[in-house]
Amino acid sequence: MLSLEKKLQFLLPRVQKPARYLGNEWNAIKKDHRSVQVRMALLFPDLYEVGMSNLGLKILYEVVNRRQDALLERAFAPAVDMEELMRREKVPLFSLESKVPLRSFDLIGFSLQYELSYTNVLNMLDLAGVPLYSSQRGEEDPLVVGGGPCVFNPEPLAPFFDLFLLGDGEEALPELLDRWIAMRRQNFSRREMLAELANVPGFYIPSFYKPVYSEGRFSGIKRLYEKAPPVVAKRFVADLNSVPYPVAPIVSHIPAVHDRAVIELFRGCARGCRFCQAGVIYRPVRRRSPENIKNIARQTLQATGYEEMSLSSLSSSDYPRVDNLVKELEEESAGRRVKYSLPSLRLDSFSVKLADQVHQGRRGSLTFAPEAATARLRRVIGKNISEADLFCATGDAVRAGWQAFKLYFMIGLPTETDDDVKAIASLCRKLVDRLRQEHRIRPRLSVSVSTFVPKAHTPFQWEPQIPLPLILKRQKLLQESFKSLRTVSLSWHDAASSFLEAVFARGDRTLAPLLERAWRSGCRFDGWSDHFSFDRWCDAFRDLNLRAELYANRRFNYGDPLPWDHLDSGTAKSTLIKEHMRAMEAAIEPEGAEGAKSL
Amino acid sequence: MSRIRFRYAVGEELKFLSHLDLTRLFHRALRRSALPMDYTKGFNPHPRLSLAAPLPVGATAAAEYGDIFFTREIGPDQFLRSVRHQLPEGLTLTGAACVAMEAPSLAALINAASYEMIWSGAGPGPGEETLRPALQKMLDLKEVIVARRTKSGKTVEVDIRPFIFKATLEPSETAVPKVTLLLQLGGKGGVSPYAVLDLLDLNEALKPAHLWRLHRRGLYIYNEGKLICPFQEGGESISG
Repeated sequence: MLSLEKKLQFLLPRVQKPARYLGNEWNAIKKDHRSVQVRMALLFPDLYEVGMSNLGLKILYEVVNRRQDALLERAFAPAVDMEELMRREKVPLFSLESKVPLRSFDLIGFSLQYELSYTNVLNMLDLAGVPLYSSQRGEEDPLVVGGGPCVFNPEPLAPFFDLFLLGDGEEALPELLDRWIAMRRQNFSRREMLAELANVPGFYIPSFYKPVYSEGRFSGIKRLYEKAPPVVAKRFVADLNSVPYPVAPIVSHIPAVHDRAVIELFRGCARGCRFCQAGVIYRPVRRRSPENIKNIARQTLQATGYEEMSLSSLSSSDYPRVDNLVKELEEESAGRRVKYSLPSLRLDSFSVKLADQVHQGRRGSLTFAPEAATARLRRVIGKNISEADLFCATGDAVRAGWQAFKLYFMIGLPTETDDDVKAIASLCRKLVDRLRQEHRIRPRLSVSVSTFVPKAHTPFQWEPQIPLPLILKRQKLLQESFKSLRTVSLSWHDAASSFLEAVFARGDRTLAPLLERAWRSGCRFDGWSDHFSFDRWCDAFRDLNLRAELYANRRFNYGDPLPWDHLDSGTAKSTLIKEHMRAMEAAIEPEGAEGAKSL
Repeated sequence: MSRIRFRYAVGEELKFLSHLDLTRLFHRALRRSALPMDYTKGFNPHPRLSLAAPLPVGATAAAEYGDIFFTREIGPDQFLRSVRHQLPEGLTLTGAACVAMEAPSLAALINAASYEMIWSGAGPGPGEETLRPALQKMLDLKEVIVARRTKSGKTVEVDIRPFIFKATLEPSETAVPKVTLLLQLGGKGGVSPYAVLDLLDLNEALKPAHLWRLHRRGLYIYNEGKLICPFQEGGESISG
């Protein structure tokens, strides 16, 4: 038998990007498996380049590997060419650090960021040789754990996981490892372990809960184990300054999607846009202190050699005195050619000034997200910006030297009409005309339009996604209304994949067999347009006699039991109901109040 | 201002990196070392760091070269001391030399590379009795015309036979001897070792690139039958 590493030597020359599977990057940590008491693998169900950009992965890598008694190694979804070779040559999915089969780890953790990566989760379990269903796993199999934003409604994945971890991982994961070590010492069985863990805050053991259906509809959840809590509350770190931060992250050999150092300025967001799930599940807002940020920046740049550093958060211009912070960071790294970048800028003059400060003469495009084109619809979604803000901010940007802008919009938002969709083109035309007349430039405008996907734990969780034919109709309307706007480049998300995302975002456990069927029929990398096959999904739905529309396009009533009601995001349902009601009131408010609502 | 020419080896761990990946890797290693790299001017400054002759992806190498400019006087010893421990496994610095600021670039100098190919397929592979006549047959060819696409998209015919300087066999640890090649590369034309493998009169099943382990032994300035080490050209004090 050839060793795994030897077999890889034959496989790698035949795949497209072998560097994805090499490991051994700068700052990667390789420990002796016999020197620790617990071994965990962290799996990211997407390509290496995508996973290596994820901050959560970097954080958990640090949090576990800084301990002497534990190790954490990485694995990513192999691209289809690699998967084919691995299956043919019988190479199991392995960890990048030690190149050992994932089956041999004590715990396997999945980072669940995106509904359309679920088939990759099943595929990775299968490639690892780990039984797909929690109920099929034996004492020798690793414990399969899930974390990340998707666990706030993990029900479509529930039977495949032994445990979900809700909320921040910095404290919860070490606690899981501590308990695992202690329980293993006492020779706990798998079942005893899960029973013990059921009482830990933030730990959700899906096999202890059973959904009840009446007439095919979800009607509530039944506890199968009396000690499991009726509602599992998310974990959150009270003070970000008191938990470890990855100041020596792995520098990937091939560029990650975000190939730069990252500092998280704060977690959470005070904005409260009603469609935004991140805004709810990462509550409350917790800031890192400027001192902590400066320390992290210094250490990270030194340990990685990165030439760019992203000051990241859900709305970076909301960090108190962020202009001052940027100035201090720049002073500290003066002469060392470090560029700073601020993603997710607000639409206002302050943010443009900030962008001007960090871009120092480099003028790419500036991105803003008005999300909706009419004041009415913006009021509905709680995006409190006005047309005047957009004109003012872009005007400032042009004066500072920018000529290219990227604008993000959504279609399919609750209460949207065809007029709201057509207004996107009108707004863009107004903007282009204005910049031409007032600033004598021809701005380059690119407009990206996604389709609204209602998500669990948001004020819009009760809302249906608009039916697929209507998405297609509105996308067509969008294209037509942009036809006379030749200077603007328009792009939009694939309608069918947004539909599928909506199916899983609010789905329940009846979708688990469907996931398995779709995966067995060849679905993988559904978030990638070159792999996504809607036909295969339709076949899977038909085979199992399920109707996708009942998941994506169903309107829930306030009183309906929701598949994720037993999971607590920290925001009460009554608050979400109030917000939803406010949105519906805003939909019929008379026009004209806009100026007063701008920030 | 100063200029350092360095020599490095690429091991199994990093043999799948592209030229661009390797350049970026050196750039970041140098940033970690805090040596004062010189950058190009303009809005998008690049470090003045260049690696010679892209190594075929999948090949290891014993003696590759790079040039780097600094804004201050940096000696070869200081360079090696500062950068060595900033490189990941699979990348080793084996020497450095001062080079005159105005000396020609590596790209302008280096025009030859020597390779060895070692059979690593699962089967027994071609023995000496198969390889020797195959090599001879290739060397006996007067010309080898191949179609190549230029940068502008045109297809031109090129005779690659003159780019094959030498092709010999050396004993190896197995029944399949090593195939060693000395080939031209660079601006005046070149040929890849895989293309040479493809030319050999061998069973097609023996030809796929992944069945051979490719190792580049060195890069040279080849002049009138003499091989000159890039350190000798414009190099002054050599440390290693």
